[in-house]
Amino acid sequence: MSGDGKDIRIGVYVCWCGGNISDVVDVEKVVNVIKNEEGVIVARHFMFMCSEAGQKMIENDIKTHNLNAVVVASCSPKLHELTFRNTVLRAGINPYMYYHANIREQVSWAHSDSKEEATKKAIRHIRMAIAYLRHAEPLEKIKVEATPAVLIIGGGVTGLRAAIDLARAGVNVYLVEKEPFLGGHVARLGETYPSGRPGWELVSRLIDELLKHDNVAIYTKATVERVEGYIGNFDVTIKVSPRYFVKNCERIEEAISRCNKRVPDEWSYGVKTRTPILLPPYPGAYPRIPALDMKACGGDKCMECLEPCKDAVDLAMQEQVIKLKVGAVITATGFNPYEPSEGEFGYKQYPYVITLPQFNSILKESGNGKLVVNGKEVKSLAFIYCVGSRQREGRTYCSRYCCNATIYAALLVAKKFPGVKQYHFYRDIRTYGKNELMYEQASRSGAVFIKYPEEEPPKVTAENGSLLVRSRDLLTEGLTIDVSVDLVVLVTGMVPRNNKDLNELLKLPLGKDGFYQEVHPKLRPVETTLSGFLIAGTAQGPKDTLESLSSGSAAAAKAGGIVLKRIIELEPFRAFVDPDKCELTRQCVAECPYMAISVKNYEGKGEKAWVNPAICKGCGACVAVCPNNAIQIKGLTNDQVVDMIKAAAREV
Amino acid sequence: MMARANPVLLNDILKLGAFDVTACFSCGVCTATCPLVEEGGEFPRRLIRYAMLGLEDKLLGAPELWACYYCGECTRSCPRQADPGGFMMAARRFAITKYSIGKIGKVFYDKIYGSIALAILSLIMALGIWWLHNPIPGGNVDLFKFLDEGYIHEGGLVLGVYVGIVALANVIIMLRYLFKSSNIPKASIGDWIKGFIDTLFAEVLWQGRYNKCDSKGRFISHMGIFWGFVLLMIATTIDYVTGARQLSAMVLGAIGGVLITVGGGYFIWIRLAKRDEYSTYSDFVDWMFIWLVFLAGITGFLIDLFTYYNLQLTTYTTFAIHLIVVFDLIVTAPFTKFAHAGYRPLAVWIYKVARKPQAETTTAV
Repeated sequence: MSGDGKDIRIGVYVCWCGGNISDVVDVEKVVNVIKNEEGVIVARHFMFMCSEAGQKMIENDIKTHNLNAVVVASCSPKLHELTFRNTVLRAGINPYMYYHANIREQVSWAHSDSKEEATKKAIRHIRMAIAYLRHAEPLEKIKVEATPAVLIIGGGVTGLRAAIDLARAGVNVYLVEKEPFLGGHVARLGETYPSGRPGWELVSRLIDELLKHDNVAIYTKATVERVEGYIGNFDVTIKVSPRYFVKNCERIEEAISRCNKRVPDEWSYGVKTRTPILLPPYPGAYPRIPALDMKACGGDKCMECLEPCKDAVDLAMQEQVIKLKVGAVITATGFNPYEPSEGEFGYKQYPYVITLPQFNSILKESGNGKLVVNGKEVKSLAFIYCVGSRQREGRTYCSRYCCNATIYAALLVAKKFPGVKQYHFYRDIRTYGKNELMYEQASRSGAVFIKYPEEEPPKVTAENGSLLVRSRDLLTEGLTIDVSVDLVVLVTGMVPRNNKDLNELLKLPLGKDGFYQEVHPKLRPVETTLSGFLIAGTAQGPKDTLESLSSGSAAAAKAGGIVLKRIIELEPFRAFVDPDKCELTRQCVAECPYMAISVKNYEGKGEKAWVNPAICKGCGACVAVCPNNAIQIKGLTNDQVVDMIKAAAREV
Repeated sequence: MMARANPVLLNDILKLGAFDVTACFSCGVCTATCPLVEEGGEFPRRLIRYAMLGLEDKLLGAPELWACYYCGECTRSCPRQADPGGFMMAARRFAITKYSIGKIGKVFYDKIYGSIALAILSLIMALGIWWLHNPIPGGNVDLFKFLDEGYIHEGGLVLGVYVGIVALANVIIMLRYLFKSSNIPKASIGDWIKGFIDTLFAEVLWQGRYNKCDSKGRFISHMGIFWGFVLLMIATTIDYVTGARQLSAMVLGAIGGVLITVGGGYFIWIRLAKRDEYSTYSDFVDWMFIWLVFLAGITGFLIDLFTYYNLQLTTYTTFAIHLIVVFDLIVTAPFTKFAHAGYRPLAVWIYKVARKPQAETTTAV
């Protein structure tokens, strides 16, 4: 086929779709008009084209009439385009010499009130299809080889789950964690709902399972520096910061006691302080050896305090750069707890205003009897919900886990410290699913729930050594009440992690709330618009542990689906450069949102733009900016588009 | 200005009843199904919130407390079995302890202290009779030969003055709570008079609100006890003023006696049988009150019966018991369940005059 339409022999098939189409569109008339179009050899209508009889009819026609292109005018291409591409393929036609005209969703269903106009519109749709095919040429799917390895960024519960699932499936896994230890936020939790098992225990079980596999490489204190290539073939560079500790040290406690430099302890969200020597923070933590926080050491490099552990430490250790080859990338970088601004509900203004993660850290360490915070016994406490979530502007989303987490904390308090009076200042309680039972239990345990109006959040002030929370209560006819408490816990939600460097590197699309965005929230929940890049866990948006692990498994399944096929087939609708027309203005290079265009030396033609078909999505942004019409999309060329417009505009 | 209230308010009220308002999720079905609620004066939901939040002044300053007659409809319809009716009852018990001068009421809302107090009071009265009575006269039984009429009349007068003063003091405490919560409506004198007349006839004399409850048995028995006391008071007054035993006084007294005996007996029966929501939970003070009412009536009759058969010692003993019971009943009246006779009409009067939404105020927990 030359693409000029001269040798084209088209068969057009108009489907009734039972009566879905034919009740509105006069299919007889459509066929009679279309029959006379240039290039049309056969035109028919039929009850159900997608039925076996319908498909057989097309196949027979192709053979008897020697057709080389087919139009089916029926439902949406999402439903049956693939069906008919296969039909024509069976009869020996290239599947891209097929066009699917949608005269159901876009015609009969949309215009059931006007049969005549609908019939005309159906004719225009089919004419467009014919115009398309007149310029069409046979295309082949793009095939790329996939490396059977996956990079997972983030060693929290989500990354661990995905890593285990992939390792089990026989895929090589590179797990990269920025912190010195795996585990993320969940590992810092004490008892978690609904099982009551400590968060670190869940994490250590995942780690144990992961370590059973020998096709897994774990890098801690590591960051991703470069990712290049395309689906199936990514070249990744990671940087591993020195850990300084090479093995365990028997006199580590002595070393720690010798350290007088103290910094806030991230592991307890700043509730405690720590020395520059970081011990594995929970039983089963990985790696099993300590790490040194050189930044916290200051000038003397902690020489003094490391003296008892001289043999276990290598201060000459250097940063390592590691190059990896992977077929897919899963980003599971998690979240940050919202950090209230100074003075927000008295945060940082009063020492007894803390956040939920901080409170959980305190709760984790507290025995039964007295609840002591900062050396003061707490006899009454207030939780303020939705801090940093569900705002009018900015963070408009619900952080999803916090109601459950707070109510679980409330139950723990009620169990461990039954004398502590609890006030819950909330907007709405969203203890969905089975967690509703916890809410029930909490209210029965005597916790008082006070519903504050969105536009008038509670105010926290200091009063006679304790804190005064003033709020309106919508459950008591909007009455303003003052509650005097010893401790205020701000129920802070999740915010996107500050991944600026990684975001610049990967260019994963972000939603308006700053979390990574999936292709479709329901239908394609772990894929991104960048082929080969998957997202999982709270990096994508607020989730609880269960939901994070589910999405970790889902991303693993998707990544496995990509790399285990070894050969990846991609649709051929890609941009291509005509090197004869290209003057290398580089406007396309700048415009391409996927960085698919680079400069290549064409033999005998010099340096011109080149589109990597494995990266290109066929969006057409480059086509629009090229001043020389040197760039076109295969399967949707300029000629095709122009002629389709003309066909659509022609009088019926 | 802002009173700092008891953070364990709910616990204090919980001690006075067997309800479970922690189950309450503030749906308001109780208020919706209540046959006695009038617009602008909603309960029980709002009062339950006051209790949960620990807003003691708000709770004690709510005339709605007394607008409730514990029909039990709310408790039957509560989707969470929180027993709002039981809560209202307990809150009234709590209010009586709080309104009573010197918090004396607390004594009678405790089984042990209440029993001791009752025993001491009975003993004092018994000793008084023992000390003042004359030797048992011969011949026909004559109560006033056994105990001089003067003692009874003057004793009764002293007791009356005492009850009046204490009741007034308690009512003032109650009104202070209502003032503090801005629940004394601003209304014209005409409205107040209209409300008073309405309350007196429709609520006090006819007990109209009580009649809106489902249980006719309770309505009739309560009506009986109320009118029984009224008739007995009239009879006593006639007796006192004329200074002689008038037939009219005897007839009225007899009718009054029947009414309180039967009424008291009915309440004892339903509480023993735990017949409905109202009678399932009984506090010490509930038993004390209805038993004293019942005993006062039944001993009155027994006196007449024994007098008729001229049983000397038995009659005088019964007379002494009757006097002790009546003394116990009256002397404790401002601090026990009996006190509702003062608080309820007053609160209902205010409730009727107000019946408009209250201004928003700030209250401390």
